[in-house]
Amino acid sequence: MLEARKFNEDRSAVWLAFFLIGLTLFLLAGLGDCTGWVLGVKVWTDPGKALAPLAKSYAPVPGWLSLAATIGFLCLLLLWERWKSLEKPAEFFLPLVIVVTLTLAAWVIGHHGFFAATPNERNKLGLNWSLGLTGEAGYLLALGLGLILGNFFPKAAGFLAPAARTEWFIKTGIVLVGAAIGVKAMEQYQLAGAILLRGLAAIVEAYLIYWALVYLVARKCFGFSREWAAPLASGISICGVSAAIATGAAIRARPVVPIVVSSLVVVFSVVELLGLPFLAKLLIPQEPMVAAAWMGLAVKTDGAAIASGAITEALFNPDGVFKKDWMLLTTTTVKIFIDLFIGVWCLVLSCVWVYWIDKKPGDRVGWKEVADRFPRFVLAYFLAFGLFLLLTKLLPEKLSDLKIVSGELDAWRKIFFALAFFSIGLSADFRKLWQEGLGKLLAVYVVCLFGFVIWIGLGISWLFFHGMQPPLNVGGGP
Amino acid sequence: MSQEENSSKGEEMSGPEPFHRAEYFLVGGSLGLGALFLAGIYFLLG
Repeated sequence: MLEARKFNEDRSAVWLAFFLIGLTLFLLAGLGDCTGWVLGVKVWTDPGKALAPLAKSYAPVPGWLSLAATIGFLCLLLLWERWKSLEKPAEFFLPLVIVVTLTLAAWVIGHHGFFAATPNERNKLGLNWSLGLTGEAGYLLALGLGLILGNFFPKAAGFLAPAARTEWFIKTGIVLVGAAIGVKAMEQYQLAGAILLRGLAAIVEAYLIYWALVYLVARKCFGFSREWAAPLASGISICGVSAAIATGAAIRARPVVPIVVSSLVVVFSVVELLGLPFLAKLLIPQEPMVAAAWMGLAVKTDGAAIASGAITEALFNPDGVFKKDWMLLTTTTVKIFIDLFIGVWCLVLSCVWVYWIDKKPGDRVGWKEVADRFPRFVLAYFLAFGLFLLLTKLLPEKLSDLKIVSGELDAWRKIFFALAFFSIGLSADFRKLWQEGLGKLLAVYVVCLFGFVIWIGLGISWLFFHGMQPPLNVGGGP
Repeated sequence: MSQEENSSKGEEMSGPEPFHRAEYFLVGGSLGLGALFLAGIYFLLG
């Protein structure tokens, strides 16, 4: 028996996330950058440049040391958190070290230019061709590695299983999303107040229409269960990986559900990235801001959306007639505010599921039960978001430090998500999943995405941004 | 109830799971609000 005392993943995830937040905030107090040594992986082709610490202040630290420190710190932190609930800590710690090491290896390899470089990055990296999956290819590789172990090496998978706690990793990552988004949201607000209101309106509109339609199609036309339809609707319609994972956790779906949906999201974002900027140029050549907003609304993963914004800007502004980066700023603003709404939507879904759908006949669900069963990590997401929004508002002179903090928390978030992908691969039987209807999942994704999601996105972008133009580059400056 | 413990609920991707009243409320409410919002913006933007 490995568990000595019942371990509450929800509570522990919140604690872990706020511990990391607390550590990063030392920077604001002038006490130094406590987590800047975390591994920050960029897209690479030269193995010598694959590993490096995230923060510039740690630039002299060798990449291998940053990797070792990340693995060591994470393993000790997770062990410390689980210590009281373990009878034999060694049976948890050794598998944990292996799980974290393999996940980070997959994460780093997934950032190789062959997998990750988007078309606008190929020249810089000296590549003629790449899969264009962005760095989120690391998630797919982590999932693939987990699947290989889980399906072909069951003894090894069984040994690693105690450390592969998907739900724990997912929830910690989601709270960290809130913190990272808080700073980005305020930063975008300061940079692009004019774009913001239109972007917000477009996002609310897109959420309300996209989600409901995808959910309806998945449930009514394809006969999906609620457990699959809700993460699918969030993944296809909102912003992919984070939305599918957060929705799955909010409605208490099995972890395999959002992970499978997220994998489809990453793969399809490549198709969107390669096609939509050129389609925008073809369909709306006189509307650069509509095109930029469309990329933010339609292209799913953060990396792919921002890359598609850069490609769109290159296509619409080849001669530098408009000021640089305004289109990219529009895409980024729309994308970031979509991310922010994940929390709002998860709050709504949690309430609907706890109060109505999961309620058994005859049950009386009072506010106390709702509060008990309510996923705490959703509240923690808002708390983290609010904290960073407040800090950015109250300490404008510390914005550059807050951006560093936000970047570091985002790096930890990505590692926790990658751990979740690896863990789910370890426990998922994909033969069974395929029999259950993985092909049908693919079909609903294609039908919804190309059938109406991208077209509604275009319509909404046109409604809110048509006639707007980026400022002219009169002085020739940026 | 954790996600793992909850796995008995909806083992299959699809199956005989009738549309719950709350789902109608969620989908209808979302689309309705979307339409209202759209009408409001149409008014505002002329």
